[in-house]
Amino acid sequence: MKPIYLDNNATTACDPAVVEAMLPFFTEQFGNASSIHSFGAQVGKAIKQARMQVQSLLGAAHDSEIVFTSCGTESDSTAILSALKANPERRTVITTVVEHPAILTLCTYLEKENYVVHRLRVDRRGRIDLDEYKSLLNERVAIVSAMWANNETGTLFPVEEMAEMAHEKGIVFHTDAVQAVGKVAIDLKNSKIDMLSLSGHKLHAPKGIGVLYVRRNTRFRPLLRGGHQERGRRAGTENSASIVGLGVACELAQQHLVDANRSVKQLRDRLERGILAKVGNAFVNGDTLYRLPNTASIAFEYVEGEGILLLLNRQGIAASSGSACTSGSLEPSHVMRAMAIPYTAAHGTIRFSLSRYNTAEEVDRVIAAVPPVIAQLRKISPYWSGDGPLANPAQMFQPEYA
Amino acid sequence: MIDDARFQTFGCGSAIASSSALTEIIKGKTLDEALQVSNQDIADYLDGLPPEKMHCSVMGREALQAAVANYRGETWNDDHEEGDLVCKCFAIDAPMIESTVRANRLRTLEEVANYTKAGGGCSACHEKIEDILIAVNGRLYASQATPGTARSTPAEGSGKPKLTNYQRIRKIEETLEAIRPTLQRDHGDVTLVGSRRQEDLRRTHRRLPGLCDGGRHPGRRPAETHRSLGRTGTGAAGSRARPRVTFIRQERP
Repeated sequence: MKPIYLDNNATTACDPAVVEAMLPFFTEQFGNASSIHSFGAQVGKAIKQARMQVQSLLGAAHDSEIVFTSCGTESDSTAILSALKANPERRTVITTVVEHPAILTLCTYLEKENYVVHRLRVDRRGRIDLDEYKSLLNERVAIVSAMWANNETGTLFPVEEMAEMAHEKGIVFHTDAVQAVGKVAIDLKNSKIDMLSLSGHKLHAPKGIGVLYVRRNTRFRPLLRGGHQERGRRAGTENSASIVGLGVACELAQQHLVDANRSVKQLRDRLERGILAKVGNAFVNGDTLYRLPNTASIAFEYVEGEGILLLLNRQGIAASSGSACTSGSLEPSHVMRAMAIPYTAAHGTIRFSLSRYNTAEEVDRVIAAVPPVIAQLRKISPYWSGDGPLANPAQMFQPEYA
Repeated sequence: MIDDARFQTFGCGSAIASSSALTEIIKGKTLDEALQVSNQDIADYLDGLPPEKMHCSVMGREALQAAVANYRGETWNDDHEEGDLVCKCFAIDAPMIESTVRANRLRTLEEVANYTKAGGGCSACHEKIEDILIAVNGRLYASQATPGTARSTPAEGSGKPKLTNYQRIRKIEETLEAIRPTLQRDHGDVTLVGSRRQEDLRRTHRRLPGLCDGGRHPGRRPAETHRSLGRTGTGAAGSRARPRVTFIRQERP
């Protein structure tokens, strides 16, 4: 029974072409890119080519606007800390409640250091109120950081419009596009986005490589200081093999972009429709009209996510969940809470995220596997009775949530 | 006597396992016997639970308590508050640390580790513990300047006379009394076997590896016990005034 991988928003398998392109840089062209000798001679060229491949996927105006980092998290931290350092008289940050912890944990820490952080709320579909956003833009704001696509629900934010609004007020705009790159079209030169984070392992490149796009003339202060790599904007010997791999992955992503929005989207829709047709008391989370083409966040009411994942795992199906048990705390994911999804549904949310490697046959197998799993867990659920939810659950079971 | 026990749960794999384990354990027991089952018993039945999941065993036990209370017509209050896990090594959450800090007027990382064990393992959680200390006390206190608990003696001048053997042993015993509850909470204990000079202590440490299981029954490591004994001393006079203690044998269940 071949395993089925539906957790591509967590990470992706490397494309075989990516791995093949990387191999020479481990034992043959392993020299330091800054070296002059023959062991490093090809490395500089390869890195430059990779830089141009990334530039092309992002639609950046200059390849020098691409800074290689170790991951999306480093890019996020670099962008926000840079804006604060480079504009010391501005001590306010605007972000959203549904950002990735790479942004939110940093912002919580910044509040400890007496910075002011505004977190834009979202409605039940995970959408931002642009009027609220506009009202917060003033000369005290150092940076706005809003994700392009949400990792849990796939909901897309109108980042290009938000960047325009920030630009009008002279405020730097950063977007964590880790989930969006390779899935939606990005054309940075025709936008007002100043900085953008990207992570290699979400687009079939290896883990441990990311990019921070920094628009030319953006005031910038590096996070990692040391050698002169990346034109002094990010010190540290280049991860040449992974950079080369990322370059190839970006080129492939660009080739498959239309596909991502057509065949992968069709498979996602097929999976979603199939499951909802067979399982009652289940619904899709987020903005179904304006979201990533590969993500389906489905809430199965009255059962808990980890239990679902473990039972699916027994059948070789890999997905993930935003339930408390799978996070570090006892609360369900902050994204679910921000959308005011009730606990009885938030804990039972499963995220299926597809890639170009998934097939219709795999989707059909999952559609068949899910209903019995849900039924088995609903049998032992205190909220469920027979064929439906308890008539008056409030009377029967009142857990206390810390 | 309990003939049969069933469960319902809206919980993860560990919650399902803990509930199921508990129903197996209590079959054939009387109600009072069943109430003696601890959450550690449930975890042991499952061959252990990861630290993040220990609260599932606690919830199982609380469910049993509530069920027995319901059967007996009593009321049962759930005063067990849970929050974010701070110390992964020993599975200690933030409300537990905060309430211990408040109740005992703790001020330093070391005191928190002595009272709760939190922070006594890999030390990755120290920033979070310090955040809690700052939240409760308004600031962070340096380790040396701890007025601390009722047990510690105030700092004394450098001209302190040497302790007699009897005084030294008394001091050691007092210190062991202070840490004994922490060890007993993990089904362990400590016995003072003897006392030797400071230099021999270091050699002794190396001959006593692995006193701490590190896993299911985490206990205090010899180094921590030594440190606590070292600090609860006579203050600023330095190593010569510290009680010299070795051969702390940690008893295991």
